[in-house]
Formats: sequence, structure tokens, C-alpha cells
Amino acid sequence: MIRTGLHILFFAIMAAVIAFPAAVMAEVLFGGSISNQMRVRLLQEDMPKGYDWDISTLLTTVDFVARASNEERTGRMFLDMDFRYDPTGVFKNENDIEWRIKEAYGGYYSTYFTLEAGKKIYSWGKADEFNPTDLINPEDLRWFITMDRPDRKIGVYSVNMILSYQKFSWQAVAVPVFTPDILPARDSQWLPWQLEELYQIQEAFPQYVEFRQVLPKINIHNASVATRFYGTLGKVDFEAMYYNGMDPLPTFDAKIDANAEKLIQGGKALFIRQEYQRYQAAGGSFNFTQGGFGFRGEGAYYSRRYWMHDLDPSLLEVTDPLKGYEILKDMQGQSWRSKRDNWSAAGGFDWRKGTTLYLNFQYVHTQILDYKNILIDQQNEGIVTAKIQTTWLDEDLEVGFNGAFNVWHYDWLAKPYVRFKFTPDFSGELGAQIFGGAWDTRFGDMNYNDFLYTIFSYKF
Amino acid sequence: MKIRIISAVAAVTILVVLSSAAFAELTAYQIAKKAADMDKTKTKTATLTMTVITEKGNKRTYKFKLWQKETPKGTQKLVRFLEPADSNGTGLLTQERKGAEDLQWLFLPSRKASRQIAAADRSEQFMGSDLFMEDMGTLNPDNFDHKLLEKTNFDGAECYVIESTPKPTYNSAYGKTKIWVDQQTFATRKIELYNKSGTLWKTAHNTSIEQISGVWTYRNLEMIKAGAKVGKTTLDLADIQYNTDIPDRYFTKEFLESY
Repeated sequence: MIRTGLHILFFAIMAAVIAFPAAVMAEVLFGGSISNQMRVRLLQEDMPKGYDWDISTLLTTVDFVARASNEERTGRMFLDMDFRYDPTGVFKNENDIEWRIKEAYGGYYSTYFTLEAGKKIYSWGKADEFNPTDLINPEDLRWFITMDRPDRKIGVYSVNMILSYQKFSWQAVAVPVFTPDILPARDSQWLPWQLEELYQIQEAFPQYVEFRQVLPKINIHNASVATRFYGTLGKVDFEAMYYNGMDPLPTFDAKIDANAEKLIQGGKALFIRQEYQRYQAAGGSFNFTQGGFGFRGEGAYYSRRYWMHDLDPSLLEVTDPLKGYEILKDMQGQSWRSKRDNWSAAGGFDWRKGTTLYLNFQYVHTQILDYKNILIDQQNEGIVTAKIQTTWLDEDLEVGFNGAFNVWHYDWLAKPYVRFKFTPDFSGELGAQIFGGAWDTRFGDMNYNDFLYTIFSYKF
Repeated sequence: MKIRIISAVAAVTILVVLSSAAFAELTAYQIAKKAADMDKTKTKTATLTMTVITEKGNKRTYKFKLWQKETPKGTQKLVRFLEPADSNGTGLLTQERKGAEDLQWLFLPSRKASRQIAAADRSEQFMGSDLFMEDMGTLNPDNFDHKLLEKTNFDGAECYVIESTPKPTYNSAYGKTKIWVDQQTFATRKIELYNKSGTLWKTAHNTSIEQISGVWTYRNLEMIKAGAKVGKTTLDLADIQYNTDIPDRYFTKEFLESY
């Protein structure tokens, strides 16, 4: 609470000071949307004669946006907040309701200099959906990747500075206080199998397993910084970036203290800590058009990231606490994770014919270097993504398909949809997300979570 | 005495020559050039409301703000969509480049980023309307061959009727156009647009022309496809300002994305 309060107070002051030229706001605009999303999960396990239906999500979102700027547009303030209600228990609180400030910042803007402060969402990189250089914002992973990436991003309290000259700019972002990813709850259908195993250990032997989240302290050593140089050369947009900061995705370390005497007195033997580590990344991206085609590429090299080891399966099969204790004794001194460099790159193209047809293809590859089989993650992953959109009925009807296929491990994701505009401000969408592949793959892990969905949205 | 007579004759001759030049007929190209340059100013801002009525009677309204600036390298334009709510905040930045393909960037508020997009085909419809992308830009008379067809009265104004055919080096959406140019103001009153087979395709009618800050300005344009019974597109301009100081930073990706 104190941490949050400090964030808000500090950045509210900074935003107000920086946006002082806009103190007399010439233009204040309000907008937003109301939407409802319902997901019906097609349970595939132990089906009786027919399918089982499970409403896994019934999310209503009310979003408010406010924009203010002065006449010269040298000062600007922006606020985006939403209220969400979901009775299916995603938010895990008494009223199944959540409100959040997605973004709230103020800024000063001139020809050569921009300064912003507040809670902000950044978007770096030219690739689609998978952006190896877009590292500043953590994500809300409670619905896995079934929400689009812009919707998953969580705003960070930050200071953003841009120096510009002609077609080139240099940007620096400082994030003094760390914000982690939001992970799925323990009983969530979206919990990855790797996390599920860790929680199984705790639940099997609660009497001697301690599970604790350790957040980085608020100090300069745990701040994140990112810098980017970008511009246009000829007809090519390019970016080059560097990031030095905290990984919002946690890793888990374990300390084993298999002391029989302590155990008898009610002590713990296994201490699992959810921790966050610092790493560095450098990369770049580009984008240009030729004829009716748009081409893009993006890549980054990550230095010394933590990767989890595969757990001893015997630990997961034990039901007798004493037997579990014996296994832990043997595991004393072993590490549950190790540092490795890795890289990730994406390349693709898109083509459109007016507003009636749009095609988009991309390949994303990630590789862990100096790989050893003890790691829980695969050494290589290569995913082909495809997006097809077409419009009919004077653009009121949109039919589309988004798909992803992992050419290394043969898992896949298919997302067909139909969207109709009842009025310019009110639309409805009907679609599905279908997962396939082996249980220990990215998409295959969610094989039992196929669902149909509807979204109705009104914008104002 | 002799010198005075010679000087007087020379002066009269010069006067006659100059007067003749003033009253000489303009060529078709000159008329087309004057019409194209009529509202060419250093900067322009306007709020545009486009109403599209389909043949089925469905009506859609779009409102957007335009900032435009002439630079030595070409025209720079920023379009920010205001309505409907679904499009609010979407921005399109265009940098025309002389002798090269235009560069365009599209900003979608939901993505919080802009991306370079392929410059639209000239024959592509603008927002599903009866206007093509070519209609939304400024036509360069140097890309066409012009012929004066006749002089006639239209909408109560004496007009030149000019037929313009694109040169082989220019890839126009149209086979030819006919424009009715006001002889007094050189405002374009009406345009007939023909396809490459020579068949009438669309007719544009500027129904409201007035002088703003000394510049003859179209306040309303109506585009109707040949044979349409109900369908049409109208474009209304409001809040028009010329030659104001628009900072160069308005035509940058940073400004495009700061909405």
C-alpha cells in the first residue's frame, strides 16, 4: 500500500509540473468503452455423451479515457482507467471487481524535446504480437495470451525523455520502481504446467514447504532503464535499443534445509522463493514498404537470464512425507535454475488490398544458448504466425483468422472470428480459440482450454 | 521633335502590346494550373466531415481534422480521426516526396504505436466512400494533357470546360476528367471523372465556394457515382485556416503517437 501510494504521489507531482504549460487546457476530451466478453470453455476431459459447457469468463469492462492539451499542444495530460467485473472468480476478491489506472501521465512537448512522467505503456519494435525489443512493461497473464498484447500490458511509473532532430530521435526511459507480471492463480485453467508442478509440491507437503514471493526493494539498484535510437533513413524506419532492468517474469529458487530435528519441531525443510532478476538486452527493428507490401524485422540478444531446471519427477510422485524428506535430503546443494544468454528474432510481411483484404505472415524464433537438457524450457522455438482479414457489407462485416504454429514442437493456436458493426459505435464479435499440441509445449499445455467467445463493445 | 515623336510611338506600341497580352486567351494548361493552385497555401487546417450514403441507404459519418504544410521536399499531411468513436484517435501521417513514393504512417490508439504502411493505390477507396485516394490528394496539372472544350454557364457562373488526360508516365485511377472552372475565380465547380474505357464513372460537385482569408475555398463537395440512385459521398469543411504557423513537429511520428 505504501509503495503504491508513493508511486502515485511522486508521479502525480511530476506529471503536473511537467504539464504546467498546459495548465490552461484548451481542449479536454473524454471517451471510453463498455464491453462484455463471455467465454464458453469446451471441456474435453472425461466427456460423457455430449460436450460439457463451462463459462470460464464473463468479463464486463468499463473504460474511461480523458485527454487534455493546450492550444499549442506543448502540454498534455492523459488518463486511462477501467473497472472490470467477472463473477467467475478471476480477480479472487470478495466482489469479483477490479479497478485499475492503466495510464496516467503528463508531458511537455516541443520540436526537439519531449518529457513525460507518470504511469505509461510503451510500445517498441516493429513486429506483430511478439516483440523481442518491447521489454519495459510487464503483462497481465491471468488469461495467458488469449488477450491481445496491448490489453495485457501493465503501465509502469516512469520518466520518459525524447530528443529529436529532423528524422531521428533518441529516447531514454527510467522506471524507478519494479512492477512484476501478474500470474494466473493456482487454480486457474491458464496456469502453465511448470508453475503447476511447483504448487503441487507445496500442496503435497504443506507442513514443511514454505513458498514466498520476494519483490525487489525500492532503490536505485532495482530500477530499470531503457534507451532507444530511432528514425527514418530513406524509406526505412529503424530502431536500436538497449535495456538494463528487472525481468517481470519470476524465477524460482529453492533452499533445502533437510534437518530432521527442526522438522520434528515444526520447522520447514524446503523454502521456495519467487524472485525477480536483472538482465540486459540489446536489439533493433526495422520496417519499410515496397509496392503494396510492408516488410518488418526485429531481434534482441538477452544477457544472463535465469532459466528454471526441470524438477526431479520423483519429488512429484511422492505421497509419503517421510519419503519426500529423503528425496529433499538428496537434493540439498542442487540448483533449481541457471543463467544463460538467449536471443529472439522475428521477421515478416503484410499486404493489403484497400480495406477489404489484409494478409500478414511472420516467423519468430527464440534460442537458449549454451543449452543443457536440465532446463525446463526448450532450446529452440520457432513459430509461424498468420493473420487474414477480409471485410464485407460496406466494411460492416469483418471475417478473420489468426493462427500460430510452432514448427519445432508442432503445437498450434487457431483463432477464427467474425465481427459485425451494428452501428459505427457498437459491434459484436463471435470467435474461438483452439489449442493443440503436446502437453509440455507452449500451446499444447492449454489443449483443454479451447473456448468459444462473444464480445459486445460500445465505444463513446 | 523627331525624338519626341519616336518616343511617343514607342510608348503607345508598348502599351498596345501589353494590353494585348492581358487580354490574350489562357491556354487549357494555364487554366488547369490556376484551378489547381487556387487554394494552394503554405499551411492549411480544417475539420472535415465525410458522410457516406450507400446504395442500400446506410449512412456513415466520419469526422477528421487535417493539418497540411508545404515544404521544399513536398506536402506533409496529418489526418486525425475524431468520429466515429471506433476510429477516434486514429492518425495518418503522409509525407509526399517529390520524385519518389509517398511515405505513410498509421497510428492506432489501441496499439500505442505507429507503423509505416504501403502508400495507398490511387484507385483505392477512401474509408469505403465514393472518393478515391487520388481524389483526396492534390492533382498536379503537369501530369496531364489538357484541352479546352468550351465555355459555358454552370451554377450561374461562366466556366471554362477543360478535358484532362493523364500522361503515359502518370498512373491515374481515371482515363480522363472534365472540369468546369469558374472564369472569374478559377474555382472548380464540377468534375466529371471517366474510367479508362471512357465511360462516365463519377461526378463531383463543389456546391459551396467562398473566400476565406483571401483564398477561394470549397466548403462542400458531393461525389456521386454514375447511375447511383441513393448512394453518394459528401465532404464538408469547417474551421478552415490558412497560412497559420503549424510547427514542423506536427508532422512527426512522435506527434502522431501522442494522442
